[in-house]
Amino acid sequence: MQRCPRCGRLLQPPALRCPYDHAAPVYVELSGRARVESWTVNRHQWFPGFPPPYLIAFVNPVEDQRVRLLTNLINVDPDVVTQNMSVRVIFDRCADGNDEVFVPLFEPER
Amino acid sequence: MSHPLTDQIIISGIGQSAIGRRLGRDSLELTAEACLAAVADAGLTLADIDGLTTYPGASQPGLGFSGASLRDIHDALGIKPNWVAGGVESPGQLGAVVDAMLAVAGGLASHVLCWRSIWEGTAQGAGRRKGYGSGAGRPSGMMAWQMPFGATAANLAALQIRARMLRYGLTREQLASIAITQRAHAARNPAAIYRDPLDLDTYLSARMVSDPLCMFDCDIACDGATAFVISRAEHAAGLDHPGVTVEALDCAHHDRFMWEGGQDITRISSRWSTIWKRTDFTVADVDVASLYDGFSVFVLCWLEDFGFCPVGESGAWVADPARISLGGQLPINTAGGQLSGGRLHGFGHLHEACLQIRGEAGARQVDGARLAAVGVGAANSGTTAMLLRRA
Repeated sequence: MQRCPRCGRLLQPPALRCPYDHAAPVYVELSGRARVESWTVNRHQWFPGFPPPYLIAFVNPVEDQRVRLLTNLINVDPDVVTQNMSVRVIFDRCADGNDEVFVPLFEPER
Repeated sequence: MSHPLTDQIIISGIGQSAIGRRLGRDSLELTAEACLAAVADAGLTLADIDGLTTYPGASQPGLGFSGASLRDIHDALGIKPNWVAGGVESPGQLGAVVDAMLAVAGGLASHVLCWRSIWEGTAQGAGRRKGYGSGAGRPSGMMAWQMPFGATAANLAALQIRARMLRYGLTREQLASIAITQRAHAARNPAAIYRDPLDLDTYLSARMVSDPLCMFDCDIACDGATAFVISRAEHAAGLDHPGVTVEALDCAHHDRFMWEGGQDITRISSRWSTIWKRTDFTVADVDVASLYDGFSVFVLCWLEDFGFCPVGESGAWVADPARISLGGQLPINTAGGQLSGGRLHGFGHLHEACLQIRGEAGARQVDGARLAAVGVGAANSGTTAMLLRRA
């Protein structure tokens, strides 16, 4: 993810300038660990290829709890998800035409 | 204290088309119906209209999000404008109305016709509600961070409800007050889509769309158009009804235009509304409120943003539906809002506020309504807050 070198905040989605102090952000490597901020069990089919139910969540990277990623929680029973639950990124490798796309999903930390 | 626009402009005419779940009518013709009604209500003819503005215009085709673009109506009605503006990048849906007010105050036009037309009912057909972006190829912008996870606005509203439950102790019973109250108001509005009473048991046992958000927390896709005419203040003398003016306006949005981009996901914006710094009225003076309800939880956010209650306390504040019902301390969404009246996308809220200030709301009229609060928009769209009173 991007980090602002001046204020130290992570930025999501990426931007050309930090929205807080307008410094140019740089990409940094993170642990991939996060905590669950909020979650929902989607029960409606909105898009082809997304059969319900599935879990959608906001997670906060442990490196900066002020920033959030929208993601899916996988490999977890919805009934055991809790606020601040520790989760870890797991990249879902997808193909979009000839492009490889890595979608960041999260599963419980074990 | 006077807002710079207050003495210069009036909302001279209001109009609405037929509204229905799926009317099967041509969307341009439906839009024209609302526009012609507003022009007639303003005591004008099409030849008098010298400005046009609309939201969202032609910018988001597909799935019925826009019933007619600016150029569609320009062409269909033979308008000869001196000024036009249409588009989605504005302070929420009512940004188009603000544009019209500014154009009239700035002397660019004398009578601006302004509309919002939507036909999601007919365009999406009889199947289940579709997600925006469906079938559109690789998503870009904000949608690129949403669609790969199968997430739509409903899911983001559900995440907001959950966050409010965790932080503020919001309960489904409290949230139910919004849908139940607005349904009771809709029963007094012949144009509303759902008018049968809704009780707490029905709400609590309803189908979940995205737990903890149920179907009664979602607005109703529909066909319908709403239009206004904004005129110079002196035109008030030519009306057969009271002119409505804007006492104060607030359009700021200091967060990124996406749900997760704000500092606080329990709110529409991390910025406090400054509208009370622009008027001598206080929050206690508001007689009726039209608060955007694309999802029920947004009403809670707007109650807090206007300062009707402290941040975090809106759930408890609405727990007794009597407070927000007709005859109560602050009747909200007296036409039924979008939850029961149909998703007229913010323009319905302004239309109802104008009716209330004009004293023309019929069986749902708030006695002696002098000041109306209108708050429209959400975290991803930007927002406009308005106070309306008689000119």
